[in-house]
Amino acid sequence: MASRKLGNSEAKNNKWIKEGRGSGQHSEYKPWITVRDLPSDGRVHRVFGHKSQRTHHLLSDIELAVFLLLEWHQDIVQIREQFPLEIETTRQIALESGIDHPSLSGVMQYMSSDFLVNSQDPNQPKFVLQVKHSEALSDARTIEKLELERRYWQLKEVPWFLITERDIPETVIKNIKWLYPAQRDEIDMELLIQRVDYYDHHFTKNPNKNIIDICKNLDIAYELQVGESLGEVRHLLAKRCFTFDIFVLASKLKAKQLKTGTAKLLQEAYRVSNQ
Amino acid sequence: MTLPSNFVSAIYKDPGIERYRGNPFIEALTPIMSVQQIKTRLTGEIKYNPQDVFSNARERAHEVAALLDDFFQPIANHLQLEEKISIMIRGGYVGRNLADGSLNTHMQNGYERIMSGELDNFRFAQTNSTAKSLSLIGCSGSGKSTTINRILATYPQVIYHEQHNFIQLSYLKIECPHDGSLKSLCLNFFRELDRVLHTNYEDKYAKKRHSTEVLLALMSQAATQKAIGILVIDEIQRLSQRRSGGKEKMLEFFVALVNVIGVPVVMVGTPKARPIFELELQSGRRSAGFGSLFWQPMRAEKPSKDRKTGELRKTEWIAFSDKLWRYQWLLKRDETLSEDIRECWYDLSQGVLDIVVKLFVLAQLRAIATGVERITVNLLKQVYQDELKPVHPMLAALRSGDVELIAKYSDLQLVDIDKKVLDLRQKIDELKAKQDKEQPFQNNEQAMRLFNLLLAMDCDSQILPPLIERAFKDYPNLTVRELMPIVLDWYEKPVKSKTNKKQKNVQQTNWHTLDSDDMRFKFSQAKKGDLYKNLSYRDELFDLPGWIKQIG
Repeated sequence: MASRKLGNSEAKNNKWIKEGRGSGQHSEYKPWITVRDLPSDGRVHRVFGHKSQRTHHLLSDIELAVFLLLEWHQDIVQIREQFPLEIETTRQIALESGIDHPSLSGVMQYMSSDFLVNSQDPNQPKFVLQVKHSEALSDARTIEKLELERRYWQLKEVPWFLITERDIPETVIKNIKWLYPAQRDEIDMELLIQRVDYYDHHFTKNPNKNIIDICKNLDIAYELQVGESLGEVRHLLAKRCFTFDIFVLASKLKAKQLKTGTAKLLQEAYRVSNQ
Repeated sequence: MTLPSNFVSAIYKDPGIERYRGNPFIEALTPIMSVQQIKTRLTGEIKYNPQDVFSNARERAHEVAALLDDFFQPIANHLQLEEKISIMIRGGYVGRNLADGSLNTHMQNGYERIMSGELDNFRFAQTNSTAKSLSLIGCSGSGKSTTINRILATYPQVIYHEQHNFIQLSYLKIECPHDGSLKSLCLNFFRELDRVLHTNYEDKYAKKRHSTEVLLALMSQAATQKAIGILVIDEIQRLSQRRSGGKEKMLEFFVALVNVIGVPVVMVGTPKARPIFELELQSGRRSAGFGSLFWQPMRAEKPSKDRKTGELRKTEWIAFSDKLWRYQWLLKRDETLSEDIRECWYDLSQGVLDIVVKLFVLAQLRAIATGVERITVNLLKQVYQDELKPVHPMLAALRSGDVELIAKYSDLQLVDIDKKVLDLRQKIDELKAKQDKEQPFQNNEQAMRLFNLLLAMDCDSQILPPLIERAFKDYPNLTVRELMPIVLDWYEKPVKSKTNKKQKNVQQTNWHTLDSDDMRFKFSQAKKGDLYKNLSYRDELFDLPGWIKQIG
């Protein structure tokens, strides 16, 4: 739950439901709370999702970080942010568990979970993530609301997890932020494979060199614009033509730390780029 | 002749071993037991009825407290000791046969010694001692005395041989006196003899200002006369007290007892007694003729895998803690012992059996008294802090592994454990008084039981009382078992009038009584503002590191 200063009236709730908020799949999904509904004191983000082909509304930096991770992970097929919980059910749970249902001026407020995620992983095809600052966990009221949410998803038999800023490694976020924009650039399959061969050749020649240095040298040698090679490498990394340890900062990568992606991954990249 | 109640008439059984045959002393003993028999005879019997979990708090407190007395789980250490004692008793008798006269030889020797007043004077050169001695060292609370008592209890203590008109004493257990003086040890010996045999040795010998030399000779004579099978001397570390001065003499006496008279001796003490035995070794005598057993606290090793079957082999600690874990009279108990709790339990108790059990009992009592109704890591830690203060130095010493420290603190005992149990019981009583005020059916034991049963099934404590009252009014002849589905039915489909009844919120002060997986319960168990540390990946925290790894 994001902290909102303004609550909804009954009428507004109904209006939002009519708008289709909290319903729809993939590109049609509309989050229950959007960036516009919030007072302007938090850091909010509107990010285009490659998987959904729509704009996602993220209400904090940690949410953005989690979103980027979800978007980056190959198994994830759908991310629905700010997913509302059925108010009748949460009300019933609140009654049974002895917790006050969130309400404002006597109007019951819809609760929402930060991310409802669909995955290709057969062990966990669907799960819910609630993003919290670890400090917020010392607040008793927050705990009550988390308990309501936990019981709700238990009832729905969907695994529910908390995630805090302490669980997200800084380097991973930096890497993904760097790679994320490049994921969209489309490219011809043949050219892609050519490029993989080309860079693979240079990487194996200079295994102990930093990739940035290699790219600089290539720029000079082939009289390219400054940064052009690195841009292409970034693109190849984003497409997973090369894989590397995501826990290592990309700008510090040595050439030998890169591995050529498998043929399957290349094909996948080809398929994606054809979409 | 009617025998006193602690005497048994000898019944002779073939001991099955050639060396032992034809010796009435041995044939009259309990036959040698198999490992399985030993296990069942040593194991403490605890009556555990799962239903009792639902009886009221005060009754449960009694059940829990009974664990302190009744719980005994034999481990490898105990079995080893039993085997040694079993061999020692019989071996000691081999050289003292009632039927072939070798006992009389011993007695004659003893007589000579008393007359001359010298302990090492003996006439019949052929007296051949077959006795052995054993020393048993272990920390206070490792169950030395308990185990010895339980092992000895498998033998009849006094056996009357009608055929020979002879009384055989199969074992005698005495304690080393506080001041470590020989005289009081002799007194203890004769007093114990009198207690068991209804004799008057104390009047006859002890009160007559005999010198200790004479008293020792008299002791050895009595030991032969009554054919004592084994002499157990407990608290041997008290000998090490400096002002007694009789340390060497006493040890010499024990050795003589073994070598000359042929009574096997078991010396039991804490690691503090080690120097005594080392002293013995220096002087070239065999203090520990039959070896010395050193009882380490149980270790918490990782379970190893069986190479053939691939199954996990339970370590002693896991088996022991699992066994004890069954005996819980708590409404919200976890059926299986989680590794976190097991680890904490071990760390706090350091595998000292006595502390393991006491910690468990006190934790349960407190869980009942506070309404937490389950054992958690936090609860164990609190109980350890509040109730086990006196033994903290000893456990700290064990944790450090420093031998000198361990010897220094090895004697620490939890003396006032009963008082603590009483205190907790009183708290539970107060709790019950409070409950009685709140519950309308206070006088109805059955209703209370039903109430607790339904509570355990996650029913709401606010809605239940009127339903239960109604059930007992409407169906006075049904049993609790029959009433349960009826009440549950009402509970599931609430009557119209009840739906507008306002639901009471669970106040934060009561969060510790909620279910284990409730976030509010976890919050109540965490240190202030530190809930995050209590959460774990895959339970309530998303296992992000593991999940990212899958990207490749």
